[in-house]
Amino acid sequence: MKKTIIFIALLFFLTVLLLLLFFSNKKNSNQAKVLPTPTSLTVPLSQKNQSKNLQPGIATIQDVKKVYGNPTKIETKKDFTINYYTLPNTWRQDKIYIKDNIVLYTSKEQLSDNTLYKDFIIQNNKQPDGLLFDLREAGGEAKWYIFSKDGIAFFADPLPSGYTFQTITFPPMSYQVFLKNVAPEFSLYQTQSEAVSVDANNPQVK
Amino acid sequence: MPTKSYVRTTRLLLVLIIFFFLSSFFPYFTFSQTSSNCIETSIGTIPKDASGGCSQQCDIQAPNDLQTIKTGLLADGIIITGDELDIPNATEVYNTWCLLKKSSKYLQLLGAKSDPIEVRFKHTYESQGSHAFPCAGFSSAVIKPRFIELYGAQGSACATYRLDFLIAHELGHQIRFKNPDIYNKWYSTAYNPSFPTWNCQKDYGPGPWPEECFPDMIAEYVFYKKWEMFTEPPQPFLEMKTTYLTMYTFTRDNIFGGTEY
Repeated sequence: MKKTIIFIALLFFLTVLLLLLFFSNKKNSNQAKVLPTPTSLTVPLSQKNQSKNLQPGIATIQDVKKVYGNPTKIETKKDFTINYYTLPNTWRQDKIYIKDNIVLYTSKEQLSDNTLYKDFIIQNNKQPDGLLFDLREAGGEAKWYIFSKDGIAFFADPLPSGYTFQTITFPPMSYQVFLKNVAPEFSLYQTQSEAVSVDANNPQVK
Repeated sequence: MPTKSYVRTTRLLLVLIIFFFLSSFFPYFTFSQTSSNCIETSIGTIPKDASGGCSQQCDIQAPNDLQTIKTGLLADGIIITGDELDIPNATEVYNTWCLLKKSSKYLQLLGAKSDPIEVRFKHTYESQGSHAFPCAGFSSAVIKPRFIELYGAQGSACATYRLDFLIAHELGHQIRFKNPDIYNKWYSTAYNPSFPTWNCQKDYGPGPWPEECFPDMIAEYVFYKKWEMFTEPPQPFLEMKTTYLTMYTFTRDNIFGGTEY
């Protein structure tokens, strides 16, 4: 009788240990599979940047200071100034273009995982007014998707991904006006070859 | 007095209890951990080195038969085709793939088994006006099956160390296309435009282009002991683990899951 009790106790102990081991491994494997939650455009461009939505044409330099504090660097151009703001834990910078104390354009780096471009299309049921290129996409798939009448552009991977690396906001305008006034400021081009000068006689790894 | 069988059973149970107890504290005792880095797949088993870890180099001999190579790669989701496909070119895909697949993390990120990749050996690059680019490549994930194209790999300009690098580079683009989150993290925290390859460093080429620098980094990570891009005769790129340590550790941890070459 005593032997049987010890035997059953050992078996029980072993079962408990096995269960603990199983759940411990399962927890670890779940941790490895955790995916970041995509941000939604319904409310903000980015949950973290909710307070950083400075509306071009409306927001003032005082609003910018409230949101960002003092700029890392200020660049003065002919008609406007560009305030640079270094973001935490990266070299990437947000830029705010200011003219006559009013925000003209904003350029925001999207550091966290998101599908902002896709979200915008789904929520607004719109297609981009145009597609532009810049140097950073050379060799890649990300392009600039311009919604000129909505005052926003996304540097993003094509659908179905829609992963967004950067956004630009500006006052709503026609696509032609955007091409003329805004695109040159951000070095955006209508063709890939404009963005990347390809020397066909000079073989390279692309 | 306990019977013999009772004593044996009790001893066995005690051994099992001690083993499971230890394994819960020391992950190296578990079966899953010891087998996670070395992989057994269609083209063979990656051998372990003397210390029981994964071999630093691929020791699998490529078969001297195109069909066998094709079948082996196909089972991993790699389809080799093209007008310049021959045994030497197929062998280099085989050898490079053999190294890359040592990392289960890399295989997971590339996802070739569920979303195959065609590796096309071609003489000319049609989309650039049928130019013959000796030893160049292209990568696309826009249409299915996604593909990489390797131009002029049969020519004398494409030594095996160049072709191996090129294959790893073009597959690196596929890693980027499939995992924009990793690319964005790299761009924020580890991108170094002075990385001395054609596409990273301004002085060497038309870059710096981060979209090209990322696959350059992956290819150098695998082959840095053999070739620093464009050195002739081929020189190792030992700065990979000193000057460019941030890029190295990013690749090791985020692309290859700890596997080193």
